[in-house]
Amino acid sequence: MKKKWLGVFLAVLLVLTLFSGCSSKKSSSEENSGGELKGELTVWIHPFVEGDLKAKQTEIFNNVAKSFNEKYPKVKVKFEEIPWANREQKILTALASNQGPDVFYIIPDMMAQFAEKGVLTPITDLLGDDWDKEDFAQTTLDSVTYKGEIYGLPILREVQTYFYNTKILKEIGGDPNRLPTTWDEFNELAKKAVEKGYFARTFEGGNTPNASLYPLIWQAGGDIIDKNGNVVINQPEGVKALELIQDWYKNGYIPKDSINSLDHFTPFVENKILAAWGTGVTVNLMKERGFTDFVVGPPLKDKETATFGTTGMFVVAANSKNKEAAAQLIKEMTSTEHAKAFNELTKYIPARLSALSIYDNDPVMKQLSEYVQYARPGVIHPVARTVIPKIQAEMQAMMEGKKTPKQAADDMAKAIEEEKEKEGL
Amino acid sequence: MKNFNFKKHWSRYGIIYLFLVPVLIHFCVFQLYPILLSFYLTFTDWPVIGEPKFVGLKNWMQFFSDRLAWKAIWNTVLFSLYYILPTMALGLLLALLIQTHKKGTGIFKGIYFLPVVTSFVVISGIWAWIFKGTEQGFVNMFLTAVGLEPQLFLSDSRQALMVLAGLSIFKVCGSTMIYYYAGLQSIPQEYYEAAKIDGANSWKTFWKITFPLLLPIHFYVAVITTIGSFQIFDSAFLLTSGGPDYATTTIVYYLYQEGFAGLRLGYASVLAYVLFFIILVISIIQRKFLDNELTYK
Amino acid sequence: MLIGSFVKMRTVVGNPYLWLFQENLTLDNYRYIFANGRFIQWIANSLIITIIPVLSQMFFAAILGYIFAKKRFFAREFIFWVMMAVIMVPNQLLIIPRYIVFKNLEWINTYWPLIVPELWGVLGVFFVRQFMMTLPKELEEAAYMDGANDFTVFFKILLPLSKPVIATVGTFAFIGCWNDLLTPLIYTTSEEMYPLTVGLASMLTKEGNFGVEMAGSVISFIPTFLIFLFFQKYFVKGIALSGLK
Repeated sequence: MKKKWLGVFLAVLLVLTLFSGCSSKKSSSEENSGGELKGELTVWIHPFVEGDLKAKQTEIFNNVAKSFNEKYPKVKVKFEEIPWANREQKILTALASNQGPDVFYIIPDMMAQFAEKGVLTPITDLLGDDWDKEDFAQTTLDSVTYKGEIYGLPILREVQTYFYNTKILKEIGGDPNRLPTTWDEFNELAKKAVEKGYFARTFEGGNTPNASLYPLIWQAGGDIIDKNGNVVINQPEGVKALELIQDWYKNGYIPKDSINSLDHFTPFVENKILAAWGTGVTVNLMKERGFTDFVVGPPLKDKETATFGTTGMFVVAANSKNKEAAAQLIKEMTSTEHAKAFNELTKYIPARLSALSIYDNDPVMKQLSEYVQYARPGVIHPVARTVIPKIQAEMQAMMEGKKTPKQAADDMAKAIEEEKEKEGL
Repeated sequence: MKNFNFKKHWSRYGIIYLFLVPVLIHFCVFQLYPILLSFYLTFTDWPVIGEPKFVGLKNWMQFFSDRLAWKAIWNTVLFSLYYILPTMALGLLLALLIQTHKKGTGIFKGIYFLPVVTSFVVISGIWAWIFKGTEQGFVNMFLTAVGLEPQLFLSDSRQALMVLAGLSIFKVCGSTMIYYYAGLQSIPQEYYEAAKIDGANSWKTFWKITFPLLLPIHFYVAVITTIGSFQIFDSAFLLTSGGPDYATTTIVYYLYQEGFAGLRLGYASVLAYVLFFIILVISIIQRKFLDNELTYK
Repeated sequence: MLIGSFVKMRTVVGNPYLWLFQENLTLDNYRYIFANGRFIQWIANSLIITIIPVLSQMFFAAILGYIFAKKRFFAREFIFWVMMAVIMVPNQLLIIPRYIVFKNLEWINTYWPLIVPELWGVLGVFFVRQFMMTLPKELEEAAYMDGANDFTVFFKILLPLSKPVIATVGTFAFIGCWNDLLTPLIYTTSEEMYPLTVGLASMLTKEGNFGVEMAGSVISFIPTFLIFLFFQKYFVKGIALSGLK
């Protein structure tokens, strides 16, 4: 008998709590208008390094908290590390219930979408003027700006470019000191490689089009969505890029599973492919594998030299209770001193030009850093992320021979237009 | 209230009050309430942050004209056709095999059960490697050895779904095996002995005695395999990202894309409810055929 | 199938990116995992959020399976199928509403959201129900005539006959809780609260580390396998009819 009453009592209690708590989104603001900043900030970061290096990462962020507290002693900063796995779900779920972090880490694809949907706080005004705008390359600034407002500050950049297998290069008569800089030069070299039974380059169709298709469109002088939000992917430049991919696929320049491969790195280090399209991470992987027969080549140019390079940035949640303090914290986190420490540890390219000195003695990374000026951060538009599966699908259909490059381009344009409509843009 | 005998009532229904009622309360809080909340969401636009905005039937109307949603439904149905019956049949087969070979059953059971307890990530990795679309793929090596063309498998929009179905069959058949095995244990030895005396061979014994007696288990396995089949998500997410060319975009995968990548939770909720209706209808049909109150004679 | 498990075993101890056999086999990945200061804590957490629900699920599955199979009462089938209907809605969608519930209860980053919702599972109830429906009425009728009440019938007669079924429920309950990654990932925020699955995930960088993943997988898998063997003991042949004598 007792059990039953207890059960009923608990249930009633629960139900009451639910109804009372559910509809209220009251937030007690800790912001001070004018006056000193105080309160608590929660920052969600990820494990950027492994194992023994993790302690160093914690140290770096502790130093950030320390130097931040020198300026704002009344703000308590808490760094929480969350796994990379399912991080979108975790962040969004927490934010949906008004429970999320004040500051978290995203990449440009997510930024425009989140900004449009009101998930982020614009920090243009909160930042003030003293954050050294000129210390960032234009492509880097583009990656944190949406509709004229700044939404985050970048801590790291990545750059994608070609890595050539020196063994194969020598075999086909190529010169590591005179690597291809244009499409024509590359195709010439590629032909020789294919004649000798190799593949010309890696092509991970299962990866984001940022890495596979878009760089080629940009190199052709085109774009996916232009600065005014118009869909231009099916302009002649876009079609040209698709035609290039189709030719590569048909002529065996890229492996047959390029359609949705997620890993062409392995065959590259197995000496089956002439060139890998990779980033600084690729360099680390090759080092781990003990693979040293490579040389870094420039991203190519057809009409323009261009490539893709993501940006890692910290942003402020729209429902943060301490927006001003959060903005100042981001400034501190991405300052030259801390950016240097962070990127030295994680081996990414610093977003700040003044921090690039960490690679003065590392020719490979130095070379990669030089390409940052060409590295576009992707498509800064709210639908960029959601159209990715559609772009992939059309490209895959083309490679399977179901559509011509022009058809694929037109269908991609249509898909983007549909997505824009859905969002009322 | 005249003829209400409390003691009698309690002795008949007491056990229900004691155990079922608390469970029902638990159910309402943790299962029913979230479901109802989701249903409410189908009538809203909610980009996850801020308050959901009421939009009436907009999401539902959008669903009916969404080509991709219907393709997702079709993909899921196709997947189920590839997956449900083989998993059930294989499970039953394995259970029978274990039953007839007394020695070392533990080891066999263990091996077949291995995929069930292994994490999905690991199994996907292994499966992707076995069915790699290049000549180095495990299966492709065999194919070329016997003179056939290497296949693209996961890179082929016609084959990808089948490969994923194979993956799920591989992972789940150990479970169905266990369910059937438990079921087989409940069949009294006497029936088999009677059959032997009557001179029946093992084939006949199986079809006339074992198979029918497993009906409650059949029903169970059918229902849960169907539910699992229609909710398939992880393999499409990990291995093919819904491609190539939308070939492996299942309902739940599409739901996830819309909800968490597109930040359109209202529409994602609609997809969830459509899925729910589909599964419900199928379960009702299964119930008509398979769920009977069994009594022994 | 055997090939699959064999392949997995071999790559487990290897270095990252090792689809080739026998190259650079090393135990470093295991050492790396064990060296993590929180490793014991993670295992303890996993045990807490697994053992309690497993025992609870076994109990409730048994007793509710019995109730739905053998007792007659108002709206029995309706209630049962409403419960079944709920698992037809995909989990991914329910995460957010559930999170809201837990947030209001202030259960985030505690053990509660990982235990309480798992205290019983409708699939277990379903399975036991199916099984008990095959047990002959005569068994109970004989007992009732001897003056037994529900509890006696359940505990002394039907339950002992249901050992394989309850063992099955226990096995799958264990697997479900032990291998769960998404739920604890969403509902916990601090490393001390992570169960093993999340803990292992937190050791990976963005690019992942194949060897570590595999090693983690093996470590995770051993207790599950042991439990599986343990429950197999209860898979003894039923002797239902003999109960009539």
